[in-house]
Amino acid sequence: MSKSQDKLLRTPIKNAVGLGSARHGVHHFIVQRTTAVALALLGVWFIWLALKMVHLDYAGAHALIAQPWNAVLMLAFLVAVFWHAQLGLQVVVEDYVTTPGLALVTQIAIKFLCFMGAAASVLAVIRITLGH
Amino acid sequence: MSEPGPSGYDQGSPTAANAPIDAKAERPDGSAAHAEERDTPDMDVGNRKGRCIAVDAKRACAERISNERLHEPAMPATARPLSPHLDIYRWQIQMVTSILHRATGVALAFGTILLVIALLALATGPQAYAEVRAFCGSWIGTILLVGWTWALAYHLLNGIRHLLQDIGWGYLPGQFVRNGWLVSIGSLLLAGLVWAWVIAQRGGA
Repeated sequence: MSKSQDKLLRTPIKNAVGLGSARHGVHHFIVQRTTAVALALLGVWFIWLALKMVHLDYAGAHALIAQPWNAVLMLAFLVAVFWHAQLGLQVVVEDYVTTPGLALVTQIAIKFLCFMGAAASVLAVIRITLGH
Repeated sequence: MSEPGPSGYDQGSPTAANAPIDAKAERPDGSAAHAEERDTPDMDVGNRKGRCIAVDAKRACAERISNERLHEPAMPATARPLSPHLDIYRWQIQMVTSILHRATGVALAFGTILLVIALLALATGPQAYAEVRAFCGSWIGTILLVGWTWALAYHLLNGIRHLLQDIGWGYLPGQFVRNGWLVSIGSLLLAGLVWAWVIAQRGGA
């Protein structure tokens, strides 16, 4: 520790500042649990919907998603899923990716992909509901 | 300790000169000379401690002092202490449920790709949707769907278990092990039930 610190001409406290808590942990914790509660409820509905859709053709599946209740629940499900997924993947990367540059790139990529997934699927549901 | 005479002091002095000044742990106890000798490094440590507390870096300072005492090579600046990893532990239900929660979570995150594709296909038209259905009916699609069904069942049930643990429920070792098994077996039952339903519907239709 001491050798590289001498080279940097920094005190130990200077090197430690900024590496600790970013003071956003509680928000992460609460949002992860809130989306988890939402998904625990919506997950049951999603399993029911998926079981119904398995044996439906295009027209039947389209009409099922286009029903107002299913469309609204699907939108809620999609937002909660991608939000929850981003938070969960973030923690996994924080735990296992120790290379700073790679960790940063992965975190940003996860955020981008989760937003893209949410945007694309929400747009698809809106089109199914309002289209034709 | 008993009678610090000049002879004792004389015997001790060469030892003090030869010994490394901060090698306190190696020093044997029991003579007045040694007791005298011990005071000097201790005072030094005390001074350094005081200085460190002043800059509010107690832990880093204590670590440096102990490193100096033991003549250990200093830790590189980027290396951080790691807790023992998986291969240290005996496998048990408590850790397996935790690992599986993470693994199924990552698997389900990848599963959202199929969900997005299916919804986009449904918004695009009958032909696109037929292609998605064909993929789901293929052997690789079926394997993926069976895997994701179990992953969703497990993550859902164990997620509810985690939420209950967050409000302080089921933390006693016996309860923890029992509801761990309950969730694991329950997830297999739920996934099996879903696929039994799918197969029964197909047979009936």
